[in-house]
Amino acid sequence: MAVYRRSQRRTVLVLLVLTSITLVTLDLRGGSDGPIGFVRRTARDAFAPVESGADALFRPLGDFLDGISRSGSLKSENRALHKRIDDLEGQLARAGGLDRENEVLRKLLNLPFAGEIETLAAKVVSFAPGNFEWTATIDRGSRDGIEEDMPVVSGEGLVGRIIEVSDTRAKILLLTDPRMSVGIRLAGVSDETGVTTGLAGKDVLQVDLIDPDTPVDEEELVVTSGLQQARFPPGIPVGTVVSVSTRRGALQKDLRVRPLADLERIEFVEVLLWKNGSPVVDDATPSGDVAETSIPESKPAAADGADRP
Amino acid sequence: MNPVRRRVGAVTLLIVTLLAQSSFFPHFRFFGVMPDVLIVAVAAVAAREGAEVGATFGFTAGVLIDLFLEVPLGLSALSYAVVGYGVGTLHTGIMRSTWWIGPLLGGTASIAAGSLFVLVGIILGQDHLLSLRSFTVIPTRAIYDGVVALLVFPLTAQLLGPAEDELSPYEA
Repeated sequence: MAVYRRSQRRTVLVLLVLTSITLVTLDLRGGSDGPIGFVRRTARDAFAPVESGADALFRPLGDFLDGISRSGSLKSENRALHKRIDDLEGQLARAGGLDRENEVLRKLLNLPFAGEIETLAAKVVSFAPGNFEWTATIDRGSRDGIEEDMPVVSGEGLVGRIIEVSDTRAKILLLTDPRMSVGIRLAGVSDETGVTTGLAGKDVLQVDLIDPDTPVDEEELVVTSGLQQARFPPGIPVGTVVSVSTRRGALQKDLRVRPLADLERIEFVEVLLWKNGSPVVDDATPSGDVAETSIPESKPAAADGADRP
Repeated sequence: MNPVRRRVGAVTLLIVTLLAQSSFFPHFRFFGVMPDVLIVAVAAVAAREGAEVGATFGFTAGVLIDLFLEVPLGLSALSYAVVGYGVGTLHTGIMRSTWWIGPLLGGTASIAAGSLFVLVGIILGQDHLLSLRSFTVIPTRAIYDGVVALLVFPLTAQLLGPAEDELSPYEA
């Protein structure tokens, strides 16, 4: 009898393992348009009201506990911010002239991103319920015109891109996810391009493909490069350089960038209604030559203050 | 034991832990890590009900959480089912009703499930799992899960009713 029960238990386990492998295979082969993708989207839509309610309920409590655990760093952050306010007040006086200059340069460069891409505001309703991915879900979906691969920004800068869309929800792959790569340009003197990659939830990004001889300053701004067929329009602020070093004999600089957007606490974002593959200004295109673009004219993007140097 | 009560209890436990995992705990990360309350529930059910029920409960819980993750559907289901089976098999030989069994089983199940998830994920081409962070997340999460088990094991006992070895001779 005991032998029979043991055998029955093993049969159940084998069946469950085989079912799991079948599901994995179906998902990997079918992609987001397959039957598993459909089940996922339906489940997310069905779960949406609960998700929104739970977010409204638990986010304040989470923020409170987060504030307690970060109280030490908050005090020093407060001091640094006071100093920053003083600096910014000085800069503000000069900003009027720079705004005008910026506008003129933008016209000259004819950047498709700045001030022309239609955006859609959305609320972040949940973060990934696991420890091995860095995603956030927003309360907008395909009904609102969101599609896969659209860039997402906050007031500070780039947040990520849309990787999955259901009727009422969309999922953002955040900059800190290791699967997320962004073509960037150093906005200082060098104008060098590279690629950032997330470091599995760390609050900095790794930058590759920067020549070891390139002069890079700490605090230097990094923006999306927007090279041809890029996933992001050019000029969206990504972050600032926090560490630079060059190892002897290395083929590239060791560069770390801290995202401008606070990705762990984002609450509202703007989705740029701009698709990967939309015609953008090719870097090889001489300034003045206008590439055809299907970008609709509407309210300006949140990050349109950023520009190429 | 009342089989209807056990089934209703198991479904209730599944819903409560799924909600907690997807909506509550993402706001309560420590050192960037959140617990895996579902694997703790799988361990708790397997410890009370044995390998067969543990594996089935683990598989169901895994499929449901996979719907909200960006990994191939079935990856968590596979790791939870195997761990549920393992805890259920282990439990039949050594289970004692002491307070530290819950945290110990919860933490151990968390390490086993996390390791299996990462290993199978890498085999399936989920290269982002192959990072140093995976090795720091798994033990940190296990400690967190051990603490969460102090709540989940008693909750499971309440919802599923007394296990066979806890019944008085009259009830049995």
